[in-house]
Amino acid sequence: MISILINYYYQSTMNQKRLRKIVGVCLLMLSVNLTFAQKFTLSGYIKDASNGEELIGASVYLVELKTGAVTNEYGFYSVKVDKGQYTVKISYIGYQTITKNINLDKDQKLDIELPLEGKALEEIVVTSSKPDENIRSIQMSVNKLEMKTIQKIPAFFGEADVIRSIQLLPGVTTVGEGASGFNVRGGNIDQNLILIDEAPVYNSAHALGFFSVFNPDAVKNVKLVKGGIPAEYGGRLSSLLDVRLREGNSKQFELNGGIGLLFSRLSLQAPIVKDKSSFIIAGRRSYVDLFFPLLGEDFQDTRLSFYDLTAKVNYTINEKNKIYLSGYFGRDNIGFGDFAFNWGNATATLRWNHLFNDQLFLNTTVFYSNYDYSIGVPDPTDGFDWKANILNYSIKPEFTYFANSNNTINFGGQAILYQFRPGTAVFTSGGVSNTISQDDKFGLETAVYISNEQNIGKRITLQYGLRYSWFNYLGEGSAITFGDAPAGERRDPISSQNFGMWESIAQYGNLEPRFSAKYMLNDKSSLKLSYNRMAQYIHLVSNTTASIPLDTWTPSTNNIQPQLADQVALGYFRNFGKNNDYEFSAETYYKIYQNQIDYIDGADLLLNENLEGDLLSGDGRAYGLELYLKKNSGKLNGWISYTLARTEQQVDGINNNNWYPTRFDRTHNLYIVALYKLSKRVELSANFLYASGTPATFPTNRFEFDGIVVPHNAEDSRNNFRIAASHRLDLSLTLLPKKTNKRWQGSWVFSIYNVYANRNPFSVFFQSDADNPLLTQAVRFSVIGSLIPSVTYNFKF
Amino acid sequence: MKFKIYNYILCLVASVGMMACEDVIDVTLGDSTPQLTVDAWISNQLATQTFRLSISQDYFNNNPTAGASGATVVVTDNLGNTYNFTESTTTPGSYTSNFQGAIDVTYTLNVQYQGQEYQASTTLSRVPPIDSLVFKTAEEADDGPGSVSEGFQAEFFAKDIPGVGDFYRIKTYQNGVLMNKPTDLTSFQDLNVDGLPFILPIRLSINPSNEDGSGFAQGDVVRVELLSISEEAFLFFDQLETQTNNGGLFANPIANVPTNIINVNPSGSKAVGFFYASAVSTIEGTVQ
Repeated sequence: MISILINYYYQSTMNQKRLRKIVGVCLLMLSVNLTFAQKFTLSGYIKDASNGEELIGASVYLVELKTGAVTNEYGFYSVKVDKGQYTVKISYIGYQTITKNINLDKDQKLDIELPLEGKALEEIVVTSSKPDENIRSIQMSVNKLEMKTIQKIPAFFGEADVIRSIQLLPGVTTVGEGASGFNVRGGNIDQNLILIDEAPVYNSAHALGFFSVFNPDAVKNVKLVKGGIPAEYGGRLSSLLDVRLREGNSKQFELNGGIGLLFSRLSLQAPIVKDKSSFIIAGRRSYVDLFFPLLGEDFQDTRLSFYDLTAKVNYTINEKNKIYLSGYFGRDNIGFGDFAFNWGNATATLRWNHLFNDQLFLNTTVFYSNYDYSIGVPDPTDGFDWKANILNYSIKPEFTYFANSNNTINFGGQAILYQFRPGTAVFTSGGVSNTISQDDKFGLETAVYISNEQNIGKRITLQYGLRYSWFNYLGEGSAITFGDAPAGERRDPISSQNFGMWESIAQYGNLEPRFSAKYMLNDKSSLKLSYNRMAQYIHLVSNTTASIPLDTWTPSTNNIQPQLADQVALGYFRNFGKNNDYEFSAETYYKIYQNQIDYIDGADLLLNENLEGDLLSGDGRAYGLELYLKKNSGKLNGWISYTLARTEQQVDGINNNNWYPTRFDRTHNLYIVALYKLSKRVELSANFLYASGTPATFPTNRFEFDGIVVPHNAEDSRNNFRIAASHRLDLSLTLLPKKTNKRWQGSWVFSIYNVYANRNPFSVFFQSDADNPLLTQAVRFSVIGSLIPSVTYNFKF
Repeated sequence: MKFKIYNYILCLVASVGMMACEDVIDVTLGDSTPQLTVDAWISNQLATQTFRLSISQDYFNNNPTAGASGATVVVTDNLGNTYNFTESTTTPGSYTSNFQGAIDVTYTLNVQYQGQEYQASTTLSRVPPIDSLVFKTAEEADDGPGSVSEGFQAEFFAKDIPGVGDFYRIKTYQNGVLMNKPTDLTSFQDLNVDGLPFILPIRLSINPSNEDGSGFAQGDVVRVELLSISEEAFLFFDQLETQTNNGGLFANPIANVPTNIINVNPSGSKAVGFFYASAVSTIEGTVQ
């Protein structure tokens, strides 16, 4: 304790009296540390020697002390220990381990570039972490995926995809194939915070839900956090998907690309100023629409395409300052005849890494994001046109203070200004137009947080933190007050109050405690426990089976309360084998949700100014068990994931006020991913998925009205049945290039999706036979009804 | 107008990938609870109003529903008139009364059946005239919903009366037979298109939705009826259309269509169906 204080006051380079208050608070939280020995800091950056990419999660280990540090998202580490002679081991899977002897008698900077392991290029790498990070790290409920792994998993149309790979992890489900987004531990798809270099992505889907917006050639690292979410993240209830882009090769020019059946990819990376500045630019364009005219007259007018562009540049100003500028721009177009529909995300992120000294690291992120969609029939006499978007502006300073080898303090804040533009629609008929516009909605979300990760002895690590979030729903606009209605029925507006620009309409604040604990049982196993409360102030309004791109987002308003979730998780982590060849984890979780949105029957969600009168609010609960076994080394790699889960809601006015399973509740989920290296040039991989059927509402009765047979559920129950389970096998074969000295290296990927052509039910619906209306039938709808073979050629220069 | 674009998108995805498929499957449903069904409509064009009362049954019971006999059916209006209905001797569950509906009159239905008493009320609203009905060959036909690939495409023209709050239902007869598949159901409101000529998808909604894309044939007699309906009836027909044409990637949740038939005893057995009243504009033409 005293040493920390002394250290703090001696940091003459620090120029932040304001910080003192914040740090002062967290000093109180630190354990008493009565050592008076002199302490020094070892810090620096760990990078990939081949391309200069900063390595996230690389390990710096002081052998004598059996302690160390792990690099952060920017490849930086810092550890403060007693004066002394140390052997430092720097390691990262897939790279050669470097050992250095140092004499730590002053603060020392140690930057290391790790060379790739000799054989590593050919080996299949499942994890980028040090082999036992899963048991040693405080973090639980976390899954990391290396791009090298994602690129080996058999993929839909052979195109490696981040979101579809995430869907093979424990605790992650979807409502079905082709649905956009993913559900984590019983959370809705809008409860995932998807960050691309710290900027949020509202719609992660291309081509509805078959592909995601992340270009695999530009992605460095993917991390999914399902529980024990650290205090620096907030705003969504269920998960954090942290996607980090490559910095760009800082050593030499590099070109990557691929040609597939549906689209092509190309990316360029090069140094601008060697070892100081580099860039990456990556683009994709689908061309399936070019074939439509060949399919006959019916397809002549059909359009379906998407493209995206990802770019990033970084510049090292000096040892203490580095900036990164990254951007993403993507667009999907769908059309049929005069009908046109398009949507896309655009994000720009500027980040500034600043080292105040070797113990205090600051990353400041400023981002802008714009998600927009438009739909219409652009015809001057008979058409309609609707445009809507969501704009975000944000600043997020995040400090990390590496106090000593036992305490790392994170603190900072975030402010996001949301501008929701629900849209302006123009309807034209016979040359006469009507313009319908809804008020823009503004919201300001702010948060401050502080947390400390503390080692107590060799066995126990704690991470405790607090986040305070505050949301202000702002004018200009009118706030509608709704009257009462019987539960489950439409509430009609009774009054409306106008607010001026930036005038506050409603405010909400929430304290969000976060806590994690780890106890090492022995060198090979640990127990972890976590609790977190999350608050969410923006909501996706969608009541269709799969979300569509024109689903609207709404902020919390005077009528919509913020969503809250509390989660407790307990996990057992164990490694097996000499070199930690096998990782095993078992986790259970229990979550309680508040203020979950549901809808009245027949809710009108599009362009409805009284939308809030059609929304219902209720409680949710989710619990489950996740088992995960992963093999990291050898010719055969991969994992088996099994999740047993239940997700339910209770909303007054639905299902006779009783609890009912949500649309994405799946009881059993088994995912098997196997990657096998057959020879130096041939790799095989396979996926197998099994998931219980999703719940659905089925009718019990029929009645006739005006000659039409109408399905009816006489019990007024919701999700009273389950559709059949889904299962699928995918295979792929990768043909690697011969080892030569040529710079051009090409590889072929042959894959078959849904090998045994199983027709997995997406939904079951009920209808009358087209020829005999009295004959009713249940119809199973499968998004993919056959096997899909594909071939992709990937190249690197 | 309400967007029905889910179907567009679904159609695109399905056709583009040519991967999606639909199969009829066997499903075992739970026990059904038979309920009284009221199908009651008052028109300003008919001299005799006919209501049908029936009993709902198992969803997969493919027999016509049985008529509900022996009910007492009475309609009163806000002008003090009472109309008693009598049950047909030949068609059980069919009840008639001789009177004609009138614009701006509110009607209240009272049904007594097997010891339960049900009530519903509705107002008969204004309707604009149909201005014209034209036919085009498939070559000249417009795209989008209501498009035809062979035969003739029909289009009718009418203009919404200024003032938000008009709700409509369209019925089309081909050679005297009501086109009555779930896909033929059309109802709409003037919420975003108040005072405008009816928009194109509505003008073309009277075309048959045949799977082979064929439209009307040479010589067909086409009659179009434009019905004014109440807001509640619009929500009913809109849901009826949604629920009987549901499916696909963006299916709406299966939900019960609403009813305005209320048991005066809240804990008594519930009824389904609807009671509504319409002013009707008609136009007829022959395809040539």
